[in-house]
Amino acid sequence: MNRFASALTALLIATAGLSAQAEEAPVPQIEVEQMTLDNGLTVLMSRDDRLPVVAVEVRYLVGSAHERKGRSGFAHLFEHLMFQGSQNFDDEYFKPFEPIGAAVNGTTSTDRTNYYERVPKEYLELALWMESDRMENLLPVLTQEKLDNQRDVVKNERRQSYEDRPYGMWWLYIIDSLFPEGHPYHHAPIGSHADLTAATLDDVKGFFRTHYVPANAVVTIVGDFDPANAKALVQKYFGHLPAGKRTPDPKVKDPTLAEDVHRVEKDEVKLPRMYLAWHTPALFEEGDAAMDILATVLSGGKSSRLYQPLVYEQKVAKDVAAFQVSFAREGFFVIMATAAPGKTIDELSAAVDAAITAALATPPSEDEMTRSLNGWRKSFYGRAESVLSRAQTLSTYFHFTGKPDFLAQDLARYTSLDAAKVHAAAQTYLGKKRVRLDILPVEQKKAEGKKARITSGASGQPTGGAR
Amino acid sequence: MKTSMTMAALAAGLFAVGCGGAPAPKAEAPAEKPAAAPAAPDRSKLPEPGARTEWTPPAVASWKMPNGITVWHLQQTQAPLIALKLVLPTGAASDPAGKAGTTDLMVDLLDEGAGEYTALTLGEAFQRLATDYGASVSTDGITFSMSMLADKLAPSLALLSDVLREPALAPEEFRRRKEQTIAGLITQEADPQYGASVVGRKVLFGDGYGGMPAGGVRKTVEAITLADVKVRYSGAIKPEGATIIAVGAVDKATLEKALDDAFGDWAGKPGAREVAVAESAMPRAIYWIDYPGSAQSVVAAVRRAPGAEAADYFPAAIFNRVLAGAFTSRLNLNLREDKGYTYGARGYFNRWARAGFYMMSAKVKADTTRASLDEMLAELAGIRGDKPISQEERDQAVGGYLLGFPGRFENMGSVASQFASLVLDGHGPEWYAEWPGRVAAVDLAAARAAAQAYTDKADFSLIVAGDYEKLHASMNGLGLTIKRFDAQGTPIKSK
Repeated sequence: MNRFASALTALLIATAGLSAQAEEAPVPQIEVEQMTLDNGLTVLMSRDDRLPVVAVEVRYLVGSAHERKGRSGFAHLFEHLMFQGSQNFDDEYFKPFEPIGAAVNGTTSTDRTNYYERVPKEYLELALWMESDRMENLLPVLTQEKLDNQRDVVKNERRQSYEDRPYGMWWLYIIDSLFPEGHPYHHAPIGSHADLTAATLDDVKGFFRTHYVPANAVVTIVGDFDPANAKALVQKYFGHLPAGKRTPDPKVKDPTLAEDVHRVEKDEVKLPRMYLAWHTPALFEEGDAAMDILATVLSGGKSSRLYQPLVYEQKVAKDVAAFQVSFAREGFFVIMATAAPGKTIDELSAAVDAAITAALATPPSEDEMTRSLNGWRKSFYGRAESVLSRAQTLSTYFHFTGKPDFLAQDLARYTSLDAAKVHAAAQTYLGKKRVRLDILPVEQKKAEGKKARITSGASGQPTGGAR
Repeated sequence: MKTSMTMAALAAGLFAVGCGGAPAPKAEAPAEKPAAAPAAPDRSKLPEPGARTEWTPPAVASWKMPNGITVWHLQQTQAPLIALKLVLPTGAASDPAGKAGTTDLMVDLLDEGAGEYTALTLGEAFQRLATDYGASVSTDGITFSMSMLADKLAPSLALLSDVLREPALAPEEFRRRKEQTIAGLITQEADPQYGASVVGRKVLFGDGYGGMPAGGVRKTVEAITLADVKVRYSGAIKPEGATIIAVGAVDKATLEKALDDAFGDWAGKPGAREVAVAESAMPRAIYWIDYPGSAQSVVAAVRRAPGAEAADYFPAAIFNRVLAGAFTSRLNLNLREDKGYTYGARGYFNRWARAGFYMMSAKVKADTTRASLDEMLAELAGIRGDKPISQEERDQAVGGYLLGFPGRFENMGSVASQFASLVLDGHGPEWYAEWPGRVAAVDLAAARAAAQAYTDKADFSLIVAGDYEKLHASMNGLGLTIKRFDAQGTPIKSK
């Protein structure tokens, strides 16, 4: 009866000797089996029988960074089309899944696109049938009508998630200014209206034939399943597909900023907000984890080095946040602050700059390091808790490091840091040229905008996101 | 044709599951090793499900502490973590008149200094333990949440005890928090979704129970004094009637001892005013919040519905899943997948302890505002009239709930949150044991009866948050007057 508690002891996370002290921390482990079909399809499998559910994730190693000029937003638009039916099930993809209580969705980011379903364990074959049919047979039933409909849906997604959300365009402005024209990260997955409008059925066909192939895909299965049966099913449904080729990495221009950029935009908001952004190391590169730690030191909690002076003491800011954004090929660090009511953007920016200077003057204290590291360490335990999050953790590690069981090494990137390394990274990367973006209330644009040096930059560039 | 056949097969399989009947035939696992050129699989129909495993939700242990705190305990060991909730039984409905947001502001102030800690050092103490602390206020209760490493239970509870029992409630912290809250509300007012939500509640419940967001609106928060907060603190933060929910890697003995050490000597009974439910909603109309230049409009149709004790709670849930609750619901397939007016359209029942509402809403492209409202009303009329819920729709909705049930128990944090909602709704821990049977018992007649009960157009008001100047004329012919409100729920006098 007590299946819940007992099955769990068979666990993925080794917990013996757990302690919150930094040096003694146990290393979380996820058991995973990896295999490659003859056609190059990578398969990752990890068992967890505590609940009668199984997750299937299919990850294609293509994202918005691989889009060609004039087709921003295409990878994400394409992701939507994958839910519009395939030759042997030409109907809404959700239809067989919602009646069995499945969790189904897809997401598109800069470097990959993924599709997933968590189903009752007895429906594993259904999930593989459906995923493989759209990998093989999407095009015969793909119509102009479907493309037009999902183009409208995606444009509404853009309006809802970016244009009509207070400050919602910031992300698009920042990457537009931070990465040069032609850089794969210059635009976001959501794309521009003009490029979405320009997408044709021929684009869809070409994209599918090039990128949606076994050699460019990873199938991950996590949960309560029989490994021999799962392997046979993967072979049955995916084994006959022609291999295709792995999508080559996009060409990356040097994104280094020649000088500081100051950009001013307006929005239907009441309080001015500023964003600062600097180029930093990419995901898993040396320095990436140090910038994560720095983010906590700067804005994690009331006594953090930016929150305490700006929000708590001077009350010049309503809020402040710092975070590292880690893409596969580049990273950047962001500090954002919203003016408190009655404070101008100039008052805010002067205070923010002063607070940053003070914050970077000394290395983190031992206590600051401990507090930040403890939080990071704890966060690793949650990454394998649900079957879907574990599947995505494994495939992400495989995609970007080649090692699906990279969890312990990932944690070690943090635990191996000391205050001197964090301080050195902070001074190195935050000492570089930066982008400053002000988002001002519409009525303040005229008054304050004059003072700002506005760089050129194609606004109306895009973003992306989950379906 | 193929599609509808396979769907029927699926639905039949589901029905068997829903009734707790015999498992469907197990799929054959192909054993043959593929040759050089593997054959394409047979795709003439969707595969049958394999054997189903019987699953019952984990049993929750429950006991009562001498000071009146009820404890729910569920041991889970998938990670060395504990998710803990403390639910107190009075909420925003007990705010003083005209001062909505008092309970919320009071709760925000509790961790701004407590016991020997200042606001700054208290936050650091939580961080050193890697314990996440949070608190939220709803109409009917206050929920404190902590997520912690399992071996940090005792020191985390000691901090929580300080927060609850010895908050400083200092004047300078009060001023700071109040200013921050107001700044946050100013920011939110720019969001059409917020404006629509504030006005929707106002329209349905006026100045009575449920009529305001738990955090209040700007004008009500501006009216709150520190004295109000202190009165509310004394009335609300008491152990009697509280519930503690602990999910995670902790055994009963350890938990009992830790709770006793932290709260054993805490005593007291909450007392608070109870605001009445307004007699009726505002008259049927189009309630408009102006967002000039908005590329999209939030459109909604709202009506009152019973609260958590609704006699037709389960039939209503099945009805809504068919009409607007699922991705493949009628409303979303219409507005998104057929018309392309929106990124998504949904409907839901919101159930508080003493009242509730039903709402369908979508954020739609501005020039489809009227057309989207027409489609919403047409879907209501259809399910009420010539397109009643079919047996297949009923089976799929019931199956979706039943087969998705185990997946709700994956994360400690979400399990603890679900239990906290049960407490707020007045249910005991046995709720989930009875849940599958009650879902399965909703037959077609019951689902259709719920559809009749909640789809009369005459019960709905319409809410629009969008560009008034550009769009108001397009409302002609709906037979409803337009009444304008601001994002704080205040009517705007027409010139």
